[in-house]
Amino acid sequence: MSSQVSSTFTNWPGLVVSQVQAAGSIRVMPQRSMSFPDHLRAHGDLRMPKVDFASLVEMLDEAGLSGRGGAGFPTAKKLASMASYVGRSIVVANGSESEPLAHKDESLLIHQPHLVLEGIAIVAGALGASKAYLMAKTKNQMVVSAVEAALRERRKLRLDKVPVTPRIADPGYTSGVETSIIQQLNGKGPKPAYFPDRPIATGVSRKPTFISNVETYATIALIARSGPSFYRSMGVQGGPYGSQLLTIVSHNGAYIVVEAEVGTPISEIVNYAQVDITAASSVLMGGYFGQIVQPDRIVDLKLNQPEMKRLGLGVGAGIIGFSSACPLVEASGIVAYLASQTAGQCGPCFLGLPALAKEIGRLAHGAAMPKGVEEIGRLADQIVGRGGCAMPDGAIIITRSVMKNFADEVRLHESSRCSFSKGRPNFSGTKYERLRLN
Amino acid sequence: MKPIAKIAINPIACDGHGICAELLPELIHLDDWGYPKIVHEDLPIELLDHARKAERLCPTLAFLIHYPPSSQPIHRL
Repeated sequence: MSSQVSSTFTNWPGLVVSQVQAAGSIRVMPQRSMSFPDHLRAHGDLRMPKVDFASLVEMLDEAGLSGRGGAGFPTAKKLASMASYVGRSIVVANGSESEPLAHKDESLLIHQPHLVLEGIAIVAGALGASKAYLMAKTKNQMVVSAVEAALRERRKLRLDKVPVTPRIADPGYTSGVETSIIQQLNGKGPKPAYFPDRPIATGVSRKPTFISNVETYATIALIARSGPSFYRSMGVQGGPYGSQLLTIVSHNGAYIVVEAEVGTPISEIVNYAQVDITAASSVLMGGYFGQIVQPDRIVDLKLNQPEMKRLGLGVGAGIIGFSSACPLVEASGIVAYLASQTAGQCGPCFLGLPALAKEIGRLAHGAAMPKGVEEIGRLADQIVGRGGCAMPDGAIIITRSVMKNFADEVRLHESSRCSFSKGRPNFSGTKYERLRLN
Repeated sequence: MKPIAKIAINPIACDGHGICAELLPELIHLDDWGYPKIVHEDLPIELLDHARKAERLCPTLAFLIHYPPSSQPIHRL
């Protein structure tokens, strides 16, 4: 197995195709920042490619790239929807990464800010945008320093035709929502807004706005540099292709950011992150929009393969977390956290989530009410799909997954028993430390 | 009954006054907290007048009627 794993990270994501083997490859994201000369050395001494709108859409379509913010929408489709706005739009790169367990966007911005900025420049150029913004994660000085240093280098070398303005996202879970990012850039409070139509025709400065995740931009830069066939050479025949950044959170609270090729066995990724899967009682697949499942349900899966989709599982914004605590306690912690993060705008969210958190909290902590499980189901049905953003839906997906996947445990809890006596909750409220590999 | 439009609620604007649910109980129910929940989004022609009234009377302008592009009826004054 170690032959497929390279601990010396050279390029992101995987320009050295010879390292990519049938079983997939894994690389670790270091915390050292790449200067512009480093960037050129890693990605080839090719200045930023210039691509027009139609060719960029075609290129991304051929590569089969999907967005890396969590929703996984096809990037070519999203870009193509901007066709009538070419020449009068705004480009936004979302690196706010408000999902508490996720660290891949900050790692990417710290390690390879130039790749992200190059992706922004390519998209902004193709869209004929007048301005571009890079929204960086809140409370992370390393991200800010790396981005600012990279922007200084690029200004000196006059690399960016479209000026990029860096901004720091407001704290809070809902601040990372696309529509909230637009509100923040418009000088308003960090609350999600109602833009039912896509693309957003009146976004930042009331202009058509293209907004995507920072990893998506970095991948666009790589595809533009090396061509879609390079991207298609990773993964499996018939797709999906490419590689993806993942944050692996161990049950002891340590995390590691790795790049894994699509199709890599999850068990290998987990081994590489030094997670003892036998000590885990549950796995959080996909963060707070994902499912809580039994560890044995994921060990045989391969990253982003159809089998994963068939089981309704995904890595969302690239999160796989492990816990040795009671999965119901974990779910109730996540729901309580999300309830605390409401922007206070939509009734079903600011009234519904606390009600749901209370009910699932009772069940989790041995104070189940008669018909409590029924009540959880009823509340979930009332809340789902009723928010201005998808945050309340995340709480419902987590709730439903734990109720379904741990049905036996739910029955035990109904009589105030629990089979997981030890283990502190790991999925919410923990401060994570970066795992140090020897 | 052929639907002539779809109804929607802007959840961010909605403050749960409940006028839409009062006017369109066939399509909208109130949840535990008094906020309208759309149970059928297709608006039949029989309920168009009620829907228009709801659209006019909603204090936060949260109730919306989406007509299909070609069939937007001319608004009478």
